[in-house]
Amino acid sequence: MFIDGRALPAGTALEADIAIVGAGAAGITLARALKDSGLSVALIESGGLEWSEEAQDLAAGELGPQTYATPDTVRLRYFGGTTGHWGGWCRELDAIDFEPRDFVPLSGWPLKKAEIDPWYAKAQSVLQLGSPQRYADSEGIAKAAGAALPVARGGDIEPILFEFSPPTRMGEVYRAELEQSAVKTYLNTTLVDLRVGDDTRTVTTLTLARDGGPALAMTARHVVLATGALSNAQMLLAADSQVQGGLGNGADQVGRYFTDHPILIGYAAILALDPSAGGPFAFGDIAADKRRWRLAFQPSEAYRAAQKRLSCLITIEPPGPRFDPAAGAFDRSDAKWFGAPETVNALAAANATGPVRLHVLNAGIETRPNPDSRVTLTGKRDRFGMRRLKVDWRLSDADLEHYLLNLGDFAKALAHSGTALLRIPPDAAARWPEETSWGHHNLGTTRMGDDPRTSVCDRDGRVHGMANLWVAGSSLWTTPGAANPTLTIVALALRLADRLKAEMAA
Amino acid sequence: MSDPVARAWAVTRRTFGATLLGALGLAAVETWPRWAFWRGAASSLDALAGLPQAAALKALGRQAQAAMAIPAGYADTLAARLGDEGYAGAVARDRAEGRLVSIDGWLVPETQALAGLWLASAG
Ligand SMILES: Cc1cc2nc3c(=O)[nH]c(=O)nc-3n(C[C@H](O)[C@H](O)[C@H](O)COP(=O)(O)OP(=O)(O)OC[C@H]3O[C@@H](n4cnc5c(N)ncnc54)[C@H](O)[C@@H]3O)c2cc1C
Repeated sequence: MFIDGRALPAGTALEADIAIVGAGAAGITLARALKDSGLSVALIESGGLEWSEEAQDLAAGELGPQTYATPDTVRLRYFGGTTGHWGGWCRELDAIDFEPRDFVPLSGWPLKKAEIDPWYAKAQSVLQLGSPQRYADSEGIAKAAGAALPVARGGDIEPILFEFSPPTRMGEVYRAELEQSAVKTYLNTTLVDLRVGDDTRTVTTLTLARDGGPALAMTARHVVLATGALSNAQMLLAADSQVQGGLGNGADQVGRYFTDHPILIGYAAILALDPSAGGPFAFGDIAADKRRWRLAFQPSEAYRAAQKRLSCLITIEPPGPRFDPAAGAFDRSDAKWFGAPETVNALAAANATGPVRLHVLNAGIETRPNPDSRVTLTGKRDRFGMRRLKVDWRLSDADLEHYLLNLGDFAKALAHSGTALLRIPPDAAARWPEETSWGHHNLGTTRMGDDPRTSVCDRDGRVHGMANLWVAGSSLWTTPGAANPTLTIVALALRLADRLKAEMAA
Repeated sequence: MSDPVARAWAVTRRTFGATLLGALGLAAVETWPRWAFWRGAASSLDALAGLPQAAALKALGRQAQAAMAIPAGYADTLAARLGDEGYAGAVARDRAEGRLVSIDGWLVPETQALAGLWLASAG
């Protein structure tokens, strides 16, 4: 059932067993998983069914010195949330991503991957992906696509897969289902405060602002913040009228450890020598098994552990300049990506055994947890009086260093297989971090952990010290891994739904 | 050929012919990359000029001269590698062992870069 919050009479008392705030990937997944549970579920969404400037303005905020997407461009405020324009790249985190690693300070989720696997399997269908998961099956998919892999699986740097979701626009795909369900979806209704009882451990009331009328109050037995990683922190910090510093922030951890995946575009290139590896499989989207895939290269889990390396996912972009053996030169040159034309022409002529192409490499990389990389509140307020946020993303040289080491190893693997030569531009370090793009993956800010001194939520997503306040979404990330987050967001939301059902049954 | 020598050769051929030819054949196979590479050149380094990709290597060497520190004694290293394995064999070994050097950021089998330097140094 859809209810426009703006149309509700002043003073309307709202209540629910479970109030889910935010109808994006996490919130819609939770609501769907709970809709037939017999519990009364409210889904509260700041925007409407269509995107609007008024709603999007509520997402605005400031940035620190690091170039980054402004807070109102890195996410969307309407029903369906940021899945309204996500790219659909899906991949699970690796088992090692959850482990404590002595070379990554403050690493180690309070969960093991195996504990999430059952929900990963269920998340596949939510995002309209194939089942079973075939993220490791680069060889099988290559075979099905009739193509070769430039390096073999099982090596130090190995081929892995992304699977593409169509991409699932949650607000479109699940709209009718939710509209016809018992879930009460309040549109154009914005959470601006969380009020707690005398114990300061229990959220008693949600204060919901809307245009055209005074704020409404909702009571709920459990509250789940699913407003995205930036707003989840913003909400906890802003709920400071009764608890100094905000909810769950006794150890000053809320908003910290914010990161995204730096996307390094063209920090490397390859000269592809083996035509069999230059087919559609290796260098772009591939269709196999009635699904869409993308090959990427990653240091294997064993290699990362042995070499004490952060992760990265390197993609080979579609073919660029083509070598003309008669002319002894490529059909075009682009020194920014491929260096001096004289060098690359000579290299191609010296090594060619067949067609030669140049390709740019892109990569999404893992960063180290950094408590100073954070989301804070500013003094500026939006039209509902909510303090706007500031995103101060900090990157360290060590993050790049690991990527360059991984690239060097990839160069060796490619040379070994005889399929390509790799280039790391001599100015790669000078480009960092200014020439860094990002995945639009807001991560961290309410990280999971067993220790409340270094985390905000427990292994289930419950805010430390709070009885009935939960968090869903990628603000829970303890360490970012390299994989895009939405599949894991959905898996953890499904897991939380089961957890809440158990909690309510008890 | 004098008679005694001719006689000795005939006896040797009769007695050890098959084995000897086999052994020579094996030696030829083992040293084949080197022989094929040298192709009558006075030294392994001189033979580089006879490679089909010599012009490309020389062009690469010119870039390498500007882009990388030229290793001391590189010609000896190169000559030894070429002498052992020939150009293709040495480059293949570089690839297999991850022995790569950077020219303008391109990670190139070391022997290829050294061969380029040598050819470029000849003007
Ligand atoms: C351009 C782009 C491309 C992307 N591509 C990929 C990709 O290929 N693969 C991938 O895995 N991820 C991708 N992502 C990231 C992906 O979109 C997010 O991980 C995912 O949408 C996050 O889900 P969420 O539910 O936590 O937050 P969101 O989807 O952002 O949903 C949060 C919801 O909460 C609502 N809300 C916020 N504040 C309030 C409030 N105070 N009261 C009520 N409601 C509120 C918002 O309106 C929104 O509907 C991409 C993102 C962008 C921007």
